[in-house]
Amino acid sequence: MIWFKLAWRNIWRNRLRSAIQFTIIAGSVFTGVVFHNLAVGNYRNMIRQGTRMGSGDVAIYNEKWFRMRRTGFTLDEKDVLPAIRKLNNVDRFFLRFYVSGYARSMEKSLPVNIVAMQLEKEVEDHPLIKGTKIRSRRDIILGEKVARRLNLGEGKRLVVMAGTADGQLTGILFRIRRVIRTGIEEVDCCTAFADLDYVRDNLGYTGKVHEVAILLENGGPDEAKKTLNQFLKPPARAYSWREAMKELASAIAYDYMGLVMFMLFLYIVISVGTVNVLFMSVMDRTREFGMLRAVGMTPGQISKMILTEGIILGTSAGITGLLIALIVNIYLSTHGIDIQALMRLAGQESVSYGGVIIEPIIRSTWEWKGSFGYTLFIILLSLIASWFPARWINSKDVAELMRR
Amino acid sequence: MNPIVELINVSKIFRSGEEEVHALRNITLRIEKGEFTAIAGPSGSGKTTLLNVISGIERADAGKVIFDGQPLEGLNENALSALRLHRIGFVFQAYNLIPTLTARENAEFILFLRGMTEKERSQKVEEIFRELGIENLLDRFPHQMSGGQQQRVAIARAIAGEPDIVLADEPTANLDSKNSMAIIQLMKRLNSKKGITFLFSTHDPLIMENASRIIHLRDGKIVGEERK
Ligand SMILES: Nc1ncnc2c1ncn2[C@@H]1O[C@H](COP(=O)(O)OP(=O)(O)OP(=O)(O)O)[C@@H](O)[C@H]1O
Ligand SMILES: [Mg+2]
Repeated sequence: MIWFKLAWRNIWRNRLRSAIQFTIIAGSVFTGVVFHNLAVGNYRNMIRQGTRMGSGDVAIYNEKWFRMRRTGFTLDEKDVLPAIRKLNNVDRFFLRFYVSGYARSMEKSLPVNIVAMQLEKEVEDHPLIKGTKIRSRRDIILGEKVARRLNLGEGKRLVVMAGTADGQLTGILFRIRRVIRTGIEEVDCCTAFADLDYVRDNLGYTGKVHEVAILLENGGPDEAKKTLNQFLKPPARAYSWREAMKELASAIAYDYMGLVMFMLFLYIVISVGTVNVLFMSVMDRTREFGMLRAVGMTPGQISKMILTEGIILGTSAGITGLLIALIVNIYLSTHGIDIQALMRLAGQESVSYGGVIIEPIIRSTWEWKGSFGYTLFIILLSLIASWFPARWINSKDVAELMRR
Repeated sequence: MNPIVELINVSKIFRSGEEEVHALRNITLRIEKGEFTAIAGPSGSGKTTLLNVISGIERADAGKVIFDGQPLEGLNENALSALRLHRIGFVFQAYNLIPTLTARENAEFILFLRGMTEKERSQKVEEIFRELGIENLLDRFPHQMSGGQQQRVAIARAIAGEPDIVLADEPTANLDSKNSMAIIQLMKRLNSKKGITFLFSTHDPLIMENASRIIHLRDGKIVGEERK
């Protein structure tokens, strides 16, 4: 109690200096927490988009296809469905079949990757083809650049040449339902989305799939993966989205690392400033500390006195910063930051990252763990900062302190 | 009975670069319990150094400093701190008090460090302040008191812990002659009525006149002694 009273009065004695320090600490926590939650919100959005256009939260592949992507390495639809039924948190799942071929118009032929999928189900969710009206099993959705190069538009017919299961070449006839412009090069240049059964049947792969993308109701891709692997028989295996979309996972990891590095740099600069302020406040009191040592206070008690000031200032400023960040975060999570203008400046219609389209509005989320993490880290830093002047004053001779 | 303080051939040399200052040269001295002793000498004669060596704030370079039978040599920093806290009261020339604490809190703080309970502390401090006739100062901050008042509070703080000896380094140097006289009379009264041992330094002849024993210091040497 006495330590607190003493510390509190000392903080109050030098209001301006304390206010500066308070602001620095609160500001650091605020910046850290807001940026962290913006970043996490952004990543969640990316993951949400990514899992919907890619592997889902967990996916099942033929191990060999997962490694080599050769059309022949398929799975039997009926072999994997029982395993999926063992999961109790499945939201939806999608069967997909991937094949490459040549799209032909009257004049030209160009390579395309066909994603054969349950179109009617996928158009509800898949970020790239959302909202497309599907009318027939011959419908195909084509990337903008292929369409332009083939000189074909919506409503036109298109033949894709591809290999069948028994090694023959065959042509499949489609009608272009929609041409999409996504901003993702691989999609625009050479991808087409078509009906699963129509493609499989034509190529003699009836009942075969390459990918089963499973969206979960709530979290837990790793648990779901474990359960699935218990019931799947090789070569079928389950992979979490992190494994299935390594690019996205590592893009997120790198991005977050960049943020952490930036924050660390900022904090180091701030800490040096804080140490300076604290040194000044301790040096102003040299004689007082000398007197206290002379009358019998131990170096430990002197440290306690200085550190208590640090604790009070650090925690109160830290909590204040956290609360302000929480309030700002409420705004940022409901309104978000619109980056469309920025994108237009950069001459882009959409932003893709790690192969995933990002919504043009970044909404932050609120994550207690990370937010507390930043707050505690800063409070700890401010304590370490006040440890330096305490050590300095204790390294001095009592008589010398008194003489100053 | 042990003398409370005993110095045997104590020397202290300060070195700053090439220069050597012999602040104390071969001091031998005994202070008995109940004494009221002045260390007199001009500026630079080594008064502060002598008091610092006695309380372990500074270590002697040669000779022995013995506090109530205990040689200080063998004690580490924490033991010296404890010795000062529990057995010595201090009054300095200035900056005696923590500016953010009231007179009462300043005096209580030492007792708190000594481990006294809150109730004991406030009782003790009130009692002492009443004895010294300064109850009116209890709740004032240092900046709300005159120099003389601050020194009175410093004395109250020094004796609150019932120390074996009070070391006062020029306790009146910052005061006018009227206040100086009042302070020294207060100390003298505490010595004769309560038997508190005082060892104080001064360069003021009027002040040293009040002591029952005067030790004259010059250039770090004892050059004379008077007893009354
Ligand atoms: N840390 C130090 N370094 C160098 N010289 C010192 C140091 N401390 C004291 N001295 C010197 O030692 C001598 C004795 O100093 P001391 O402070 O004990 O004198 P004093 O009698 O208390 O003087 P004053 O009346 O001015 O307080 C002086 O010459 C002083 O300059
Ligand atoms: Mg002196």
